[in-house]
Amino acid sequence: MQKKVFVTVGTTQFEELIDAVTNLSLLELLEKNGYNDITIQKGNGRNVTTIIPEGLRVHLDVYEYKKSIIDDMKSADLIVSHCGAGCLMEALALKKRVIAVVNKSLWDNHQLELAQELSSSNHLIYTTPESLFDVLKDPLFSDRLDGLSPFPAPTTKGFVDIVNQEMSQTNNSCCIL
Amino acid sequence: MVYQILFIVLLLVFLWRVYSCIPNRIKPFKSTTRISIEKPINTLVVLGSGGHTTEMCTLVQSLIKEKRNSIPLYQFTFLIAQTDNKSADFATTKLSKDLGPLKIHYIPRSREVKQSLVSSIFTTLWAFLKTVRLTLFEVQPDLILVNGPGTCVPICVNAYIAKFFGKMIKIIYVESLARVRKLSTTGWIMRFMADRLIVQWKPLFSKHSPQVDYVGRLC
Repeated sequence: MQKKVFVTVGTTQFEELIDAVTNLSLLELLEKNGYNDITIQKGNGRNVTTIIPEGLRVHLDVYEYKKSIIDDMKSADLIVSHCGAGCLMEALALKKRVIAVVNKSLWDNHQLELAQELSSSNHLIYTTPESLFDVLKDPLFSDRLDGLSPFPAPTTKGFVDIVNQEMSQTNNSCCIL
Repeated sequence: MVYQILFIVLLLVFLWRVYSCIPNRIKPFKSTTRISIEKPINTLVVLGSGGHTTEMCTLVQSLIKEKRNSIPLYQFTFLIAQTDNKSADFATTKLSKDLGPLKIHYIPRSREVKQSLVSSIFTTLWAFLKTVRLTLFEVQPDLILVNGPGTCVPICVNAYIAKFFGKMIKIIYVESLARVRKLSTTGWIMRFMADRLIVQWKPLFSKHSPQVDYVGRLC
């Protein structure tokens, strides 16, 4: 069976991640794990120059941007994503297996916190571009993917209750003047 | 002497008035009474941009369903920054099925690119006055729903002008799903302004409770 990997870097670029996934030894590892179909959304980084040797049965598909990457997400078995909140949430909502790769060069690291939190509750695997290879090389990798816990659906009931509660109250002291 | 006494009295009235506008959430006493809701609650929704807009639309969708005697409890007016060309389309496709055509107003731009500092002081002031007219006279909201980014702060400042003169406006701020352990700058400012501040992650809740609410993940 052909399994599909989708790699996405978001709206800017993330060269370390692209370099890591287009590395031949990593592509070999992916093939060994049954992932033959690799789609990469590379953003505005430099072009991918990897030439796939004949023995390696891997199909590599690279593009910069698409209006919506949702179709690529839906058809993927494994999503390797940057730590953008929207992207991670979308992938998890689709009940996909996700590896979140952190971009250390980003100054604002609140997205890193999100990925760490999601990883500590075992919803995804969290790693750096350098150790992505080691994560895939781990003999327990596929068990680890299978062991990820599904992401619970969000609920707005509590929010609606708070708004209703707040709007049915009036502060006496505000109405005197 | 008379002027001095008058001045002190006015100052005290002013300070008391300001104090009484501070949200209950961060004030030691609570004096609340229940009122029945008779007409739809006029809700002003500030659509930030990008992810903020996406999250806000989910929240609005959940409020659309609220009804008393089969009349919708909330009616919505949307505020969008003039520079933001995507939010209006997004909100329309997501919400107009339930709401019909959306009431949308645009927040004027406070400064153009390359504008000089001195003139931008005046244009910023002018833009602010326009939002005052927009929020306090055209929309007259009972509830302001915000979730960032910084553009929503001046709107909430407007609300305080109205609050000072005795209009009841509630401000509810929902922190972005992307914030896990630390409030955003806007969230940090809204700690002092919002009547309710809702966060979506436990670590953030434990850090700021009981000032903030946590009711699970919303989006």
